[in-house]
Amino acid sequence: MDDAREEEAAARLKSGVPHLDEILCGGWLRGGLYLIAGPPGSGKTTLANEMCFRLAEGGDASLYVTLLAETHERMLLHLRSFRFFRRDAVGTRVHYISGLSALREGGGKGFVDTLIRTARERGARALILDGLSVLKERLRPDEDLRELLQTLGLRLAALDCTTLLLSTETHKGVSVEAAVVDGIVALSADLIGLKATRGIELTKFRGSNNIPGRHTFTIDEQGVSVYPRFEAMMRETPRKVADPRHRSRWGIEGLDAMCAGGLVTLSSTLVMGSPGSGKTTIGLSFLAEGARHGEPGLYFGFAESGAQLTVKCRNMGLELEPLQRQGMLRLEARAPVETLPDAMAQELIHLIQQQGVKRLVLDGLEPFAKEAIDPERTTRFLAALINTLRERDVTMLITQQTNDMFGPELHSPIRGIEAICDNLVFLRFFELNGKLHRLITVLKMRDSPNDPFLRELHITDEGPRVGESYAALEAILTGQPQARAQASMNPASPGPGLGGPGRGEA
Amino acid sequence: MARILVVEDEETLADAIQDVLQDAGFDVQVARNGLEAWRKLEGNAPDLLLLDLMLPLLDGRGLLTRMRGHGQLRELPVVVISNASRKALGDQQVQSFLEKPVTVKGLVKAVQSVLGSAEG
Repeated sequence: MDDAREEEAAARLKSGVPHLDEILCGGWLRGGLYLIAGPPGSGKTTLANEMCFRLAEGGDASLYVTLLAETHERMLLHLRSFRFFRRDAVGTRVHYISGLSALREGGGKGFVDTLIRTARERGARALILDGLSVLKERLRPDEDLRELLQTLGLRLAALDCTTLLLSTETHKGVSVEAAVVDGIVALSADLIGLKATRGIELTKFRGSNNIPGRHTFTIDEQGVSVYPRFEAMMRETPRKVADPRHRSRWGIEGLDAMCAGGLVTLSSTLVMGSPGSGKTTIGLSFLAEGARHGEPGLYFGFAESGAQLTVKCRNMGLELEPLQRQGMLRLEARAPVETLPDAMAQELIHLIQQQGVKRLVLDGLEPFAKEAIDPERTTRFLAALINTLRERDVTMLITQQTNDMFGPELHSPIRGIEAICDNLVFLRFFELNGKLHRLITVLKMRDSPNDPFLRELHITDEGPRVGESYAALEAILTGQPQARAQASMNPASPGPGLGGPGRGEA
Repeated sequence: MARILVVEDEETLADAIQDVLQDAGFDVQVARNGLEAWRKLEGNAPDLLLLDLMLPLLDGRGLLTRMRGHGQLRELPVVVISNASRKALGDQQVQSFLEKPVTVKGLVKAVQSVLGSAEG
């Protein structure tokens, strides 16, 4: 760490709340005065308390001052269910006091004096004032809130104590406290459809390059977890490039030939297709091929469990268990409901770092798109995800389900996704002579030649393989092919080593 | 009638404790912080101190430290009633430690027991 960064880090008080410090660009400015605003139930008290207990873990003391009717006993009763809560810290590092008597008896000045003296006596690095609205209501007519808050902030700053004021007001307009403080963190609890979401936004933050805009956060038994908007965090220009000289093979007979030897390493590939068309199967083959050649793979999907996928692959002659046992392949499945895209991205990056993953199959984009609070950001989010993974040396394959099984039109559920990915592989069913066939074609490969033919994908008990092309048919992509004039189905220019259809067809 | 000084910064709680102990036949005074308690103790020592540990200004442990260095207050019986952990007491000894929440019965019983022992 260089001197400037060290100095910057020293000037910050880390909240310790997971990922909150990232949007604060390292933490609160030491000695700063901040407003945490949000309606009742938005998470202010939990956030502030968690910060106190996180500070206690590092040996720092904090003073939690209440002006509320709720007793400390009741507040602590609620806090006990959180994992960050430490009984031993209460009264030793985390000190709860009521400021109501001091305010009633001594007015604003007496109240501030009490807080300063108590904070000094406890050696507090942070002071939380819970109940700013009560302070405002109870100030004497001749007392000025602005002066009081400035005095409080300055005197606590002199003690190297950072102050958080908790307020139930929204502070969207101009208010005295909003003008005085160094920063405002606005918390919200919204209902989007039937889904409850929590939002956190820095509406003001002096003196640092914080991450603006709204982020999501959750509260569970772990406490508060903030999920910074992924695309806002990944603002650096990607440095790594996908070099067409380096290839990541599918390990699927015929498909590598279609891709001029395999996918370009570090590229991103979108595999689009209707349900059952073979997206997951070719994705798992891609992971297995990498794992067999020393490239750890991660499958992250939403429809089938790891156990289901293992059985499914075994039935196709693809044994995943040995690769999983060797730590070369990991299958992760998540329920596609009530998810937060930023939380999933955070988890994905964590897994990739933890496992040293080189190949990723992200099986399904729907949870990222449908659960997005703002659908407009989906494309930016995915672009940031792809760039981030490339920077981490990952060759990725994303599947996306098309909603139409048959028919002349093709609708992509996520607008613009085709343009973001380097390569585009398309799968679909089509009907011919009373039988359903799977079709595979490589629609696009960035910086690489690719086979222009539409070919049949066979999923057999010996694994998937690509077969003949359909030179004699036209309009196959519509799912409703027609024979060319004077032609019947005529396998033409098969790829290297292609066999005929039907070998152990699954 | 035994005299008790209750040191509690949360007003509603202090009022509730005062009511309970008065109903049980004690003479009760209240202090809202450690310094106020110290002044009251120096002025007129009660028979028992009912002490919260987390207090504005001087905290419960600080008050106990002062008392133990004071000739007349050194042996004053103390019942702690607090949300804080026992660790907040440090090396200070008290006659009884009650963790909040405390039932009315439990509070009165603890006070009577400590006062009974002190008299005995």
